[in-house]
Amino acid sequence: MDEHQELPLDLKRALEDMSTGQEPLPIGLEDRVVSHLRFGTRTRARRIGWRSWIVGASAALVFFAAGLMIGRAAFPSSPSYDFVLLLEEGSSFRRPADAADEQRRVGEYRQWATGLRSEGVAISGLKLGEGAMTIGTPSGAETDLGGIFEIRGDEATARRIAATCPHLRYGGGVVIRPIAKT
Amino acid sequence: MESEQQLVREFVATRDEQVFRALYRAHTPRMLSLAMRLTGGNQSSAEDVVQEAWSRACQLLAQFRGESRLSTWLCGIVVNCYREQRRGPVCLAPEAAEEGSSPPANLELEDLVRRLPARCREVLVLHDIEGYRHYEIAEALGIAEGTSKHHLFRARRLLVSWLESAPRRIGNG
Repeated sequence: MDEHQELPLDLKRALEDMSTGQEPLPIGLEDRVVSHLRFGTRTRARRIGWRSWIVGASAALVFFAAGLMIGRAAFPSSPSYDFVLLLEEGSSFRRPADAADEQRRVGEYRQWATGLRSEGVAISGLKLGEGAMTIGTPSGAETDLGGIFEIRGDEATARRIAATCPHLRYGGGVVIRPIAKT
Repeated sequence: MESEQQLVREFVATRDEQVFRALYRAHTPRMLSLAMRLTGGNQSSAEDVVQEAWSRACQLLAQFRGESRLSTWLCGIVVNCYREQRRGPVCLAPEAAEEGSSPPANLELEDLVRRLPARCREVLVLHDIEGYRHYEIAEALGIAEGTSKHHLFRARRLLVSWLESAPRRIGNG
C-alpha cells in the first residue's frame, strides 16, 4: 500500500459511518458524573442564594481538601471502583531476573487483567516504579509495593480475583483494601 | 424541545442538575464512542475520560460561543482528556495488537480498529472516523504532523491487510 494511497472506497465509507455510531450508556455513569460534579459544586439540584453558595463552596473545598489528606489523590481511581489490590513484595518475593523478565511479567499481569475484563470485571492497574520518597513518619514495615489494581465488585469478588493474581506465583502478597466512599 | 444553545445558556445561568442531565444524555453516547475507540475498547478508561471531559466542559461552557457544534466541541475535550490520561504512568491494562499479529477472523470493523496499536488507532480514529486534519491531530496528541501521517499510513495498511485476509468483515458480510 502506497503511503499516499487512499483507502478502498467501501472501507473509507464504513469508517466515516462509524462517527455517527453511539455507544450505549453504562448503567450508573450518569449518576457518577453528576455526583462528581456536585462534589465540586459545579451543578446544583435547586437554585440557592449567593450567600448560601459561598458557604456551600467553602464547605465543599474543606471536605475536598480532607479527602486529599486521607490519601485518595494518591491513586488515579474513579469513584466506580470498590477495592484496591496492593501487590506487596516482601522478603519472599522473587524479583525479575532482568529487564526482559520484568517486561514479560508486566505482559503476564496485563493478560490476567485482560482475561478478567473479558469476563465483565471492571479493573485497572498501575505498576509502581523504584525509589519511594517518604514524607512524615513511615510505618517501618519492610514490605515494598510493586503495583496496584482497582476493581469493582463485592468482597467475595475481590477475594476471588486476588487469589488468581500472577503476583502470588512470584512469592508476593496481595492485600485487599476497600475504597472508602466519602 | 429546547435548542442546544438554549440548554447551554440555561445551564451556564442556573447550573441546574436537570438541565445538565439533558445535555449529558444528548451528547455522552457520542463522547463515549469516541473515548472507547481512542482507548481501544477499555471501558473503565473510557468512562474516566468521559467523566473528566464533562468536569472540564462544565468549567468551560460559559466560553462556548456556538461557532462549532456542541458535540464537536465536547469531542475535542474528550480528545484532550484522553491525551492527558495516556501520558500517565505504566498501566497494567489490555494491550492492542502488535503489527504482524492477525486478529480472529470473526471481528467486526469496530473491533479491528480497537485492536490497532495505540498510536495508529488514535490517528485513524481522529482522521478517518472523526474527520480531524493532520495539523489538528498533531496539536491534539502532541506529535509532529509527519508522525501523524506515518501512523495513519500504518493503521490503514494494517486494516487493509486484516480485511484482505477476511473480506466479509465490513458491509453486510
